[in-house]
Amino acid sequence: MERIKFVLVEKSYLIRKGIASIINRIEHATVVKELDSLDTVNSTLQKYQPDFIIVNISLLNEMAKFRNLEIHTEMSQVGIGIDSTNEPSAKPKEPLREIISTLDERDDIYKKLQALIQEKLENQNTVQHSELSEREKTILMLVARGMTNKEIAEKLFLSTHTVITHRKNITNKLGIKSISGLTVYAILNDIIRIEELK
Amino acid sequence: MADVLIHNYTLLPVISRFNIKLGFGDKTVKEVCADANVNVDFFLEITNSFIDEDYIPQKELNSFPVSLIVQYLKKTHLYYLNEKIPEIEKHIHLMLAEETKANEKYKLVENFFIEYIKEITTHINREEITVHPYVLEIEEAFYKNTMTKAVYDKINSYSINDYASEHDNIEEKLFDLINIIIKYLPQAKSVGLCNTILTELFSLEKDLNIHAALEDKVLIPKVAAMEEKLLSLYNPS
Repeated sequence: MERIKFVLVEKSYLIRKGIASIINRIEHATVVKELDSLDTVNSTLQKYQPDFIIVNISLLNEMAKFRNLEIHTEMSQVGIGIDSTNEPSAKPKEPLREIISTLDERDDIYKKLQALIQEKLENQNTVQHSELSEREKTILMLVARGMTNKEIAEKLFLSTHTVITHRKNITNKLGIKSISGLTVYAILNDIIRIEELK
Repeated sequence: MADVLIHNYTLLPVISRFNIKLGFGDKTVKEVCADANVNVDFFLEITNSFIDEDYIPQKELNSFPVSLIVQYLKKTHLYYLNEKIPEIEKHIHLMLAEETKANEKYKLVENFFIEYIKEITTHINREEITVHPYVLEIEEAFYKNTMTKAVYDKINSYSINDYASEHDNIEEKLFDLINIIIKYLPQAKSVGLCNTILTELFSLEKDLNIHAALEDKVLIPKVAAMEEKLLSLYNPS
């Protein structure tokens, strides 16, 4: 299953590590990068494509500088603020979805994060099948027989591009990249018999 | 040094790669390295990359001579070929022997691994026969600051970028095998052996990843910069 990725921007080491340790303990969630300032935030967001970015609310004004960037529009759906002012907790304002206060109890933080993660996972689930489709099985069989993408495309009257897409999906579903690995899978699942291999 | 190993036992095969022998009492890392004639800074860089896989590339690693890096790479090659891989192979044979004769499924694992051994051997041989002598030669020319026609022709016929582009991921296939055993094969009869094999595959995969990072992120950029400098010195006349 795809993990839900977080990027964390917080100057205070203690707060950053604390939040990261909570997130990393939640199933399907992981902190892909921790930053102590906004300096490299752009390249980080581009590189890791996180589902959520958590930023100290004191940095929000500075963050507005990135308004013109494409990444910002995405951020408006994914921001979570950290409030370390120790004032009674504020309601999240645009572009934030949620606010974590440093006064929050452990369970509060869990609940807030869990709700967001759950929502994200449900949206993802529509593309989550680990079973191969019939088409994918046919292609896997031909791959195991040693055929190239081009040969498979010709045989099935598909474009090479479509064959490549199918192969990517097969690899994503099974977690197997190499041809010999795919062949072993095909034999184990009776998609091909050993005698058929060249 | 003892603290380092107690803190992270996966470093055990790494220290033997540096010819450091156990039984060093309470000596510090520096003392042990001095006794074994090991560059302590290089030792620390390598051990750090085992503890934190994102550690490479560090600027410090770039400051070491190519010959030192190559020496280490050769040592890891020996470790893979003479120790780790035969060990895994032996355990796979043992596991297979425990299964009923008709169980062709585990035969597939054996075949897969035998094929893998062939591949990794070819990969390593190519590095030792072609790549390592080449990078050492470039380094020598670089430090002498002299550019001859011979070196010029050499860079033009085989540059480090050729190696970079043909440098395939041998650790990828290993991960396929791990996945197949965990997800798609029925549990082996000998649970203990199966777990041993998986543990060994994981540790080999990690070692290979660090090995590849050292090649891709340190050795290749370093040699590429040397080539560039050398080519700029060349003045055909």
